[in-house]
Amino acid sequence: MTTPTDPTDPLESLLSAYERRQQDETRRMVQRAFKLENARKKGAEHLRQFALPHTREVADKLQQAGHRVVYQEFLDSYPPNVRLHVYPTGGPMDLSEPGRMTLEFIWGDPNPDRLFARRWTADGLGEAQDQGSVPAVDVDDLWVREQLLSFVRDALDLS
Amino acid sequence: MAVPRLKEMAQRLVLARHDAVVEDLLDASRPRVQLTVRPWRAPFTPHEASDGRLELGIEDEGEERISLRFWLGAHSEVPTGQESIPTAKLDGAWLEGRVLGFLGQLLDRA
Repeated sequence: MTTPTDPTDPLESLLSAYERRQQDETRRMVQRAFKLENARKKGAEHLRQFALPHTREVADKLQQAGHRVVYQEFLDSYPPNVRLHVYPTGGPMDLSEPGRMTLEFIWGDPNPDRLFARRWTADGLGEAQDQGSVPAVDVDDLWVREQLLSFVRDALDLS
Repeated sequence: MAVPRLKEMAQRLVLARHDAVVEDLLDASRPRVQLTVRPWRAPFTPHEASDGRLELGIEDEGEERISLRFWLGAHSEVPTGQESIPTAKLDGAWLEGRVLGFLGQLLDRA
């Protein structure tokens, strides 16, 4: 006679093995979620501290200079990122529609624990170019300012 | 013999958080007993596990043979497994072995 807690009982073994598998799956999922959330928090904190003030300032200045700007902050996203889209205003004789240029500061994509600056144009994300990246320990205002300056210079064709 | 054994196994499945129901349809036009199981799945898993059904039926009017069929997946019409034995060969060990085989396959897919 076997009882439900008898480890030699075949049904008990089957149910225990299944339970273990489900628990392991859940544990892996929770650990992954923790890892993702911790990475997001760290990235959001770095972006908040170093990227946001300067990017907001540049967005304001571009707008004041008459360019169309769309500024987006996605600190709650996975991975967290900040985007600055610029539609440079041409001269009065320039009849063509301004093309869009976008700079994105993105944390942890494609490599973890690193801030990336990536840019792309109205041609689409397929044409995205990595402008530069920096490990977490080296992120500072200077690096962010350099990325913004380089982007604005190219967007306004000032180089 | 089969109904109490299936009910006992269903009860143990329920204690392990699975949905398990035994239906005694021996008085129906096609006499049979059904065990339907929906495996429990851990929270946050992307999809629910699909049902499995095991059916033990009296095959002919002379009641000489017992058929066992099971289906994995709620909407499958073709049985995943089936066999037929003489009624005299139906015993607890045979039944338990078949139910365990069915549950093993069902839980592997869940």
